[in-house]
Amino acid sequence: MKAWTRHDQTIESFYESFRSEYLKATAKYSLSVEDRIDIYQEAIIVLYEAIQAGKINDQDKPKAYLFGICRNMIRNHIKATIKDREEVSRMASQDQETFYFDNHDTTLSPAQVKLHQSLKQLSENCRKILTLFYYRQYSIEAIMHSMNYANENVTKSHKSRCLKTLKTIVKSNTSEHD
Amino acid sequence: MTEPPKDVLRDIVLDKLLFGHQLSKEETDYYNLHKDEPDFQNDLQFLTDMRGPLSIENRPLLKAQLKEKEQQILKSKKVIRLMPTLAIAASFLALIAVSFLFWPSQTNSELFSSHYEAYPSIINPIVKGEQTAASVLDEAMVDYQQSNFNKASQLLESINSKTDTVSFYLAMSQIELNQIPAAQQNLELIDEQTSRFYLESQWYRALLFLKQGQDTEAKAQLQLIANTQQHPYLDEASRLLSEMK
Repeated sequence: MKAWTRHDQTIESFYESFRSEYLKATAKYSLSVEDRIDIYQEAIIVLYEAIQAGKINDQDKPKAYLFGICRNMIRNHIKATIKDREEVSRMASQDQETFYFDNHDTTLSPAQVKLHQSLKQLSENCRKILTLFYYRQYSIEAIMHSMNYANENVTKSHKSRCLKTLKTIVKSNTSEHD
Repeated sequence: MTEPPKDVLRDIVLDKLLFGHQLSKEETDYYNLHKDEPDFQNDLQFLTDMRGPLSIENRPLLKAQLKEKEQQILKSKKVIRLMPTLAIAASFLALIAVSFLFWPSQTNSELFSSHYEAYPSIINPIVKGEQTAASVLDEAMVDYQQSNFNKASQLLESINSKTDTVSFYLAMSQIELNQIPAAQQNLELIDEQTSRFYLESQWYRALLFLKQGQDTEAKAQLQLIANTQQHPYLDEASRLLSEMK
């Protein structure tokens, strides 16, 4: 399962493989196709991040998780629009499982806020290499190909240098504010 | 074997800890030696903290990537529907031109009304039992047969598992209730050629395009039907095409 998070193409294949079934399964809700597609895309991202963060292991069935996330998101969407309270309670009673990672947890700690600001001060290349490695979990070899580095050692040094630069920026920003 | 420099080893250990990967013997030794050092702990915390900001930065990019994929899917569906029709487009254009010369023009609504006929119920309702999906469908089909489309539509919508049969008859009820966009959406769900109602859904999709003034889509759909040998609506589609300007 984890493999699909590593390459953009596989994410897209994953997206396509359950799309039709998802649309059929969610046709019963009073939401437009556009809204349901939007929710599906958000759910794919949530699932992606849950795998990256190790909240789901490789043995889990992605479809069950994906549809569970979608169901919770649809319920939240309906709640937010307060269109149909009965539908919300009906969905709640149908839910067999709870998915604790079903929304984007965008709350950052104070340290993460500083990190976020500092990331923006990094060069584009550095941001990209750190993103590919730490967020998308590309291997060093995949980053080498993706960013056209000469070899894996060069790629490793770039990654290491970018991380050090980021730490320096964070420190500098912290001392400025203190 | 040459040992990696200490800072390289440190990076490897930190990354593996972050991703939950197994450490080698040498890496485990390094970890055991340094795990209690505040610097080591701070570095690991730094990498852990980085995930939040990185995901905030990247979600819009992932979202854009998925949106683009969605566009590709929609585009490819359109192409698949249109391709077989291109081959016979010229002959139908000629037919349309002839009809334009000899017949008075009809509005889309008139054309729809003259060609639309509610699809018969081919599901045999059984005696009501407990409230399972099957029994709700049976109940809905009784209402459908009795032209109680509002009730039929409500019952069909209440069925959680939307099989092709449910989607199809829900769409039929919605057409009767003049809920055209909703009907169109339900017909779009019947996209598997193996479906019992696939050919029927093609015909009704064409009629709904016509009713909504989407002539190009209607013609494409009709040409697709007219180009399919033994299609149950082949004659109807050809006739309607000839009547469209």
